Amino acid sequence: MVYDVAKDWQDPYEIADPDGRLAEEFRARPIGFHSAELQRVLLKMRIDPRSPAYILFCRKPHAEWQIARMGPMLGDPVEIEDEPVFTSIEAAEWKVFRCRWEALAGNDLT
Amino acid sequence: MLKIVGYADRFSVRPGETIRFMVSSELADDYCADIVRIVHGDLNPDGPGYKEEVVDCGVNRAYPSRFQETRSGSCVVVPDHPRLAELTSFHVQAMMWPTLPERGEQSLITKWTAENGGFVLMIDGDGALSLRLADGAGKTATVSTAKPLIEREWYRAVAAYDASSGMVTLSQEPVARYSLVDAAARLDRHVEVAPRLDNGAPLTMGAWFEREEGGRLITGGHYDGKIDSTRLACRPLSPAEIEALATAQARTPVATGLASTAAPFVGDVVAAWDFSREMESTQVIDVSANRLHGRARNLPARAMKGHNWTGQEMNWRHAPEQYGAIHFHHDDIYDAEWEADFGLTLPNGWRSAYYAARLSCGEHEDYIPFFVVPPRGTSGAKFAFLAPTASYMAYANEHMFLTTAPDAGALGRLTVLGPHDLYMNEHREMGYSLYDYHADGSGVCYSSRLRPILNMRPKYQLHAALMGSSLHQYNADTHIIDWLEAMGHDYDVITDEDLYYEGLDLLANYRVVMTGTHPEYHSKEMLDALQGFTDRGGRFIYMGGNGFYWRIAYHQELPGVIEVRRAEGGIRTWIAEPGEYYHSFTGEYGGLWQRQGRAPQTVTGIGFTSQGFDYSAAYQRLSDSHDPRAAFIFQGIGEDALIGDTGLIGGAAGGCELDRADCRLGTPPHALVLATTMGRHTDSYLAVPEDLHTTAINVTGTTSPLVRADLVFYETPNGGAVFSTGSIAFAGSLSPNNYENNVSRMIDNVVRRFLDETPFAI
Repeated sequence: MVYDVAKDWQDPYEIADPDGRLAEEFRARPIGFHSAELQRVLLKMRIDPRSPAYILFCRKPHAEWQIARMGPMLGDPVEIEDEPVFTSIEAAEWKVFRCRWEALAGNDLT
Repeated sequence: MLKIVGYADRFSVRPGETIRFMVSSELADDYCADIVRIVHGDLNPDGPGYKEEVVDCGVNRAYPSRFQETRSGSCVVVPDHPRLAELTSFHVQAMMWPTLPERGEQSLITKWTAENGGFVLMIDGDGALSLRLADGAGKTATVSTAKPLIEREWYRAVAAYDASSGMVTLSQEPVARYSLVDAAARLDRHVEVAPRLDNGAPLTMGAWFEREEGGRLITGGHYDGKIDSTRLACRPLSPAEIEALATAQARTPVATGLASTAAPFVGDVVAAWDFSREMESTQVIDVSANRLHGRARNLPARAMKGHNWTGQEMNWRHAPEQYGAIHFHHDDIYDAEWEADFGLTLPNGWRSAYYAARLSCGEHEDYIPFFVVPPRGTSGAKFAFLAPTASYMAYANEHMFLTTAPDAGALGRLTVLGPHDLYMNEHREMGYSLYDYHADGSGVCYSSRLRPILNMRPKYQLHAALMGSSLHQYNADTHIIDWLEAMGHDYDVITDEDLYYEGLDLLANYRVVMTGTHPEYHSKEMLDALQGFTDRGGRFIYMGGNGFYWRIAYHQELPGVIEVRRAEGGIRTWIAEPGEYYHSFTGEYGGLWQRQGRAPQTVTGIGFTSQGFDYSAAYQRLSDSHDPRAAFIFQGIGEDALIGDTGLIGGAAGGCELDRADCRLGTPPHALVLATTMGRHTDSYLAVPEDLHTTAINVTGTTSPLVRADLVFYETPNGGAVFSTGSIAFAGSLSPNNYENNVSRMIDNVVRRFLDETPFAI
């Protein structure tokens, strides 16, 4: 018997941000000190199997980043999204935050 | 994607010695090679900028591009021998523990060539034990148990062919028995093929022979899993004989090397390989009278628990007969075995420094780093920078964030990959780091430098390193090299590998030794040499974090390879199996130095306490910083100044991996704790697990006092001293404001005083 954690595990925590305060906090500072509540949201976003394994690809050091995803199998090519190209890591973080939010909470933050 | 990569046959080179460079280029045009001196490998526009200098020498020219293939996968090779070639009937048996039986065809024991035939005992495409026979004249036969093997279960595999009857016997017999699971299989089948064993091929285990190419052995069909107690006989054996041969204690000192249980038919035994002998080496010993010894290639894991491990002994030296297994992996690699494109015989007069062969072709480029060290017994300066090449090797081609789920909360931000990472992801034949798992889920315990190391390069950024420059190990250490150059300090470069081989002699001509940013891996010989240096009045500057953490062993026979066994505790990306905590290279107990009574605090005054990967924090001065003994350190630095509140690694001096003083672990009682980052880190910083004796929630930057970097100074016997920074990010704070900042000032104060021969008072 093998327990499929990705399928069977349920995080009882639900993402909710009725007044948009957490999203605004993240947008203002994507990396670094965060409130306890935002940390919990980010933790769920990062471990929830419903959200793809996002990464960033740096195509030009200190200048250009693209959103990418790990391939489905070990060693598969990383899938890089051609557009958009971000000029800061923080801008790319905000985009991924919105994608994850939509995947987990169902509403588009934009 | 990278189109040109390379490696060298050595890390450090001295005048008169030759270093050879191996290059693989998928480009149509010639590539250019230039030797460059590496000063600053950081591309960050907020820093001093990238710095290298071309060194005029004879090898700087164009070379033809050619692709050179890397073939990973370990095996045992027994050279062909009349006793093998003369076989018409045969019996082969072994214990096996497959770890990826569903991966496709994998060789267990073979004497085979595609052209001339032979036999292959293997796992077939259905994951079942199978025997393939061929007569070399076009006739082949394959017999399979058709019963998939269960992963990580021990089996006795037996195959035999009787030339007189044409009968094949094949069986898989599991050691463990489970109710409702019938994993055993046995069949007898007549075949119309007489396998040809005088086929010119070696006998191989863990792979099949494909061809020899310019003296290089090409193998394929690599196996993932353990093999133990391989036996070969010249005729099919009865069940009683099979049992007798299996249980024959090869260590019994009788004339044949086999115990009396096998004596009645010992004349029919062709070979009995005992992997528990010469485990430190590449030798594979046949204890039969025929002495058909072999060699292990590409570093399969040795000193591995065998099928008969009882659990009563954890040390393979105490019960070698229970460690008769070799664990093969299709992604093991020792030497990529590329042909050299060019060699550089180092002339006299080259200054000791960081160098690289720069390979370029249009927009494509790569660097092959090396280090010029002074002639043996001499020095060019009183100051030595000890390049942590053992730690560079430990991290060589690290795939942690390419293998496990990235961004799983550990970084506090998204993983960032670059072109070198994508290349590593898709070229796993280049091998792994000591942080990675093999494809079969076992930990990688060996790392070699005889292969392209894609993450040990100037310009390389590490996905897990902190915001800003995002440098780690080799490239982060160029922050120190650049500072030494900018400040006009004369220095030599020496390496960990030199320290291992030469010990204290290497340090004898130096007054000051400075480490890199993350000197994490040390053998006993290396620690002894450094301890001997400070005990004799040497001055030691530890410029990093998480140093002197893991014990390693160097191979006693092969150059350029280290071993770690991730035993007991510590931040372990994989954990050694119970009973496999002792290094195969030396028999020494593996794991953290702290667990062996020699915590990092005994070497530097501080030891690993926390890590985080978003931003760094500045140090706050403590009362000890006002002690007169520390006055020279703080000359020109404000009384209340934060130390290192800017920097290229995470924006400040205290970041990434952090160390703390702790007298219980060996910080000397007279040590001065000058400054700390305590209370200044984000919650992405977590305390290390070896300090957590039970589950706890207060382990983060804002909740635990264990999350901090301590700046420490103390005097050592005979007029020496130690200064330790406790942070990987520290060196990133040397260059801001054109090197005029309080970190630069502090380190300059320390270097100048440490170079002064005036003994420190005790």
